[in-house]
Amino acid sequence: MSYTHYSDEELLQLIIERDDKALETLYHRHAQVVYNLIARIVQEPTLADEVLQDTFWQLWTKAEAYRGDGTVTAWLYRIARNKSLDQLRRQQARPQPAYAATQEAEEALWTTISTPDGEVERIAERRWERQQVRQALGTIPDEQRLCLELAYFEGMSQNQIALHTNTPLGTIKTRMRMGLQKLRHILHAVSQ
Amino acid sequence: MSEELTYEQVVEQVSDYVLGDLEPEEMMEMDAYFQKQRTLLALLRETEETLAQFAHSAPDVPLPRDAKERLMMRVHADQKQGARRAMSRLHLTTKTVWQMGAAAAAILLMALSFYTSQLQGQVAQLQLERDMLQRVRQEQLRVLAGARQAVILPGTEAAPAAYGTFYRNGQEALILFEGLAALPDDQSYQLWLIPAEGDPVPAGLLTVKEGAPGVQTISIPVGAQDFAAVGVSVEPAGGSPAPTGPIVLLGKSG
Repeated sequence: MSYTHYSDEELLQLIIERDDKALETLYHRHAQVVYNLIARIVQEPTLADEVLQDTFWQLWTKAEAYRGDGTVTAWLYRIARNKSLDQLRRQQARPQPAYAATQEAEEALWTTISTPDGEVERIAERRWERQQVRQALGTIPDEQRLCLELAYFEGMSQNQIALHTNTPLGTIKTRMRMGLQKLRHILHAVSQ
Repeated sequence: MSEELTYEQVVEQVSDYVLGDLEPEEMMEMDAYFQKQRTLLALLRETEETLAQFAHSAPDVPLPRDAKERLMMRVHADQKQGARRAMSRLHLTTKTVWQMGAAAAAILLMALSFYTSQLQGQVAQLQLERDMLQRVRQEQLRVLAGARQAVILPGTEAAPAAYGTFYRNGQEALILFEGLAALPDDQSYQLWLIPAEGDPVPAGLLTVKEGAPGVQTISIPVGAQDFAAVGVSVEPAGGSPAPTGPIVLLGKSG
């Protein structure tokens, strides 16, 4: 039986009923972006692998914790981000980035991912979404984007960002708020 | 923040809230405000969704080759374990006391087997403890064999993975339970016999070992001969005269 017609929310419901195929389908749909996010934060392949396993294991064992008041992807990314930041904070010294993604590597990656029949369209759809997000991010002024990226990927507080960038806290707050507002509006517009 | 938040302040701090960049006290104040002003929930969700989009901006990294296989292997092992638990439950839900007794006996043997396995490596005490367990086992089997009343005890919302069965044999009873989490030292699980009218009657404390099925015999308290339900709650260490903590197991007497 094909699960490709199920929405993420429906798959999550099936996971609560202990359906392993539903988990596998969600994995195919989201593992790549989840892993990119984790790898971007923890910067170490072995740890990233562990966090990836932990994230999807939590999906399997605690799917009922999803309250349905947002999308499954936002929930899933939040789990992955929180686990990654926890892992990051545990690291004594931050190693040098072990990943160097290039456009060519990315192209190769997307063409070699093994997907079940019918999931290819969804993967392509997500790739399209990704391009839109990247384009949207490109329209945000650099200083605003930097603040948001430091907060999201590095887990920095606004105070830490202010120190890190040698900028007044009030300015950081304004940049983050404006950057986020702009991104929200752009994403809202392109999704219409 | 000591003064009450204003609408503008909440709107301003939504992104801080989503990023977890507030003090715990401030997070709680924001939570309270969202409950009062439900219209702000939409803004909160939209901000969460927007921030989540940042995941898409991370550069692509090839997935570990066998990551999915390792995950699914673990999932399948968990399913098998779950199936075994379900089988145990299935046996426990059969209708006659005798059938339930048979299933319970299997669990009882598992519990005793668990206890026995714990004794391995303690050669000097092994014989003593085994003798003790044999006596306990015989006592428990005697109560179980003579039981004429059984109450299924499903786990409540506070402990959805837990379940148990309460068997009554005259003035004695046997309770089997599984899936209860171990409690900190300052708390105990307490058994209650609940009459149709009147207050629950305390019927003893349960000893729980994390991950192990449990079994205990008790005496039916004088004031609870005609109980209508059986429950287990979390109480301060040593127990309470009346239930105060969350109920984890609860079942009506048939």
